Amino acid sequence: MPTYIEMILRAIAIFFILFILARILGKKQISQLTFFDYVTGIAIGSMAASVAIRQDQSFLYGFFGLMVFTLLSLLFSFLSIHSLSLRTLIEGKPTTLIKNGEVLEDNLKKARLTHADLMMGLRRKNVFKLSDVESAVLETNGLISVMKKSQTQPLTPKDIGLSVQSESEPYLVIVDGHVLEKRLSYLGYTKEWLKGEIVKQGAKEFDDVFLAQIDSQGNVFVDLRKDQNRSEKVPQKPLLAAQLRKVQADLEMFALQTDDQNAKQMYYSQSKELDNVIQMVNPYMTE
Amino acid sequence: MTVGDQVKQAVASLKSAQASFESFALQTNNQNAKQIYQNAAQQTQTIVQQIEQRVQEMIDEEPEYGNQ
Repeated sequence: MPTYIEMILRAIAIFFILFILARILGKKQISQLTFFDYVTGIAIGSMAASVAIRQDQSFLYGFFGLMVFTLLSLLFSFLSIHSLSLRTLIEGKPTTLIKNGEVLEDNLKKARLTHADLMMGLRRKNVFKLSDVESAVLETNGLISVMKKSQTQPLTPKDIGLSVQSESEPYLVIVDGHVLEKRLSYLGYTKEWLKGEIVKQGAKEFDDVFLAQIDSQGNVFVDLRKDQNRSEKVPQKPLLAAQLRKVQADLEMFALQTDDQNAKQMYYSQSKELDNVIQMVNPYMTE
Repeated sequence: MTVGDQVKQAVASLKSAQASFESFALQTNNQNAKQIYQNAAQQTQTIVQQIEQRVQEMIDEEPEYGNQ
């Protein structure tokens, strides 16, 4: 066999072997590389590369090397799930860099980080002021996690006692003009209903729609293929809220206008009742 | 537009609001929101009935309200 054909075959084989190994080793390699994972990954990669391009190296031995590294790596990650002390040994422990707002210089030194590294880590978390930090931890994958002081944390609806509608995941129902019918019927909507919704928003056919997404309240967002032709959608729920408030104001006006005491009472109490309805649905009247 | 007409208009608005609540209740998958919309529809319905009674009274008192 000519050398170049052998090398091509080797490269192709290594390509697919690497692909399979990467799938076996899993997502962890990318998202949470610890130092150990990192080094293992480099070793596997350079082994694969030398098998692929060095003719003097036996393909089989290279293949064994790759297998052994993958198996060991799998074995270690399996063991470290089951044993806490082994996990600490392999992955190390997170180091606290800032505690109660104080920078721990000793830990910084132990982790061999300069103040500039620490500041960079904080800034990457959108923290520019040291005074905002309650605690910061150097994770085993080298990233810094930051907990801000409670008064500098973003305000949430919970903090001000605001009731908000709970919302679950939205779903795409039209992609590139194709209706995802299975998903649509799983969500409990019909194709005809969806057609009505997209027509309201300026489409004529399903084919005019590039993307359509339904949120958990049944609102449909439509993106048309022709971006200019977008007709402004009248927000249904805010409109209804405004309508209710108008009726409520009208009721109070009627109450003022009538001389009949009974009717006056009735209008006031109905206005009050309507006000209750408005208060109750208010969190649900946003689009 | 007489007061009677205005009251009738208010009733019509309320009826449309009630219908909207019912359709929102059907559209949403969120059980909590469904419940709220249904309650709102019911309460609106009660208000509509009360005010309709008043419209009837107005017609009885001054029959010309009724024939417009």
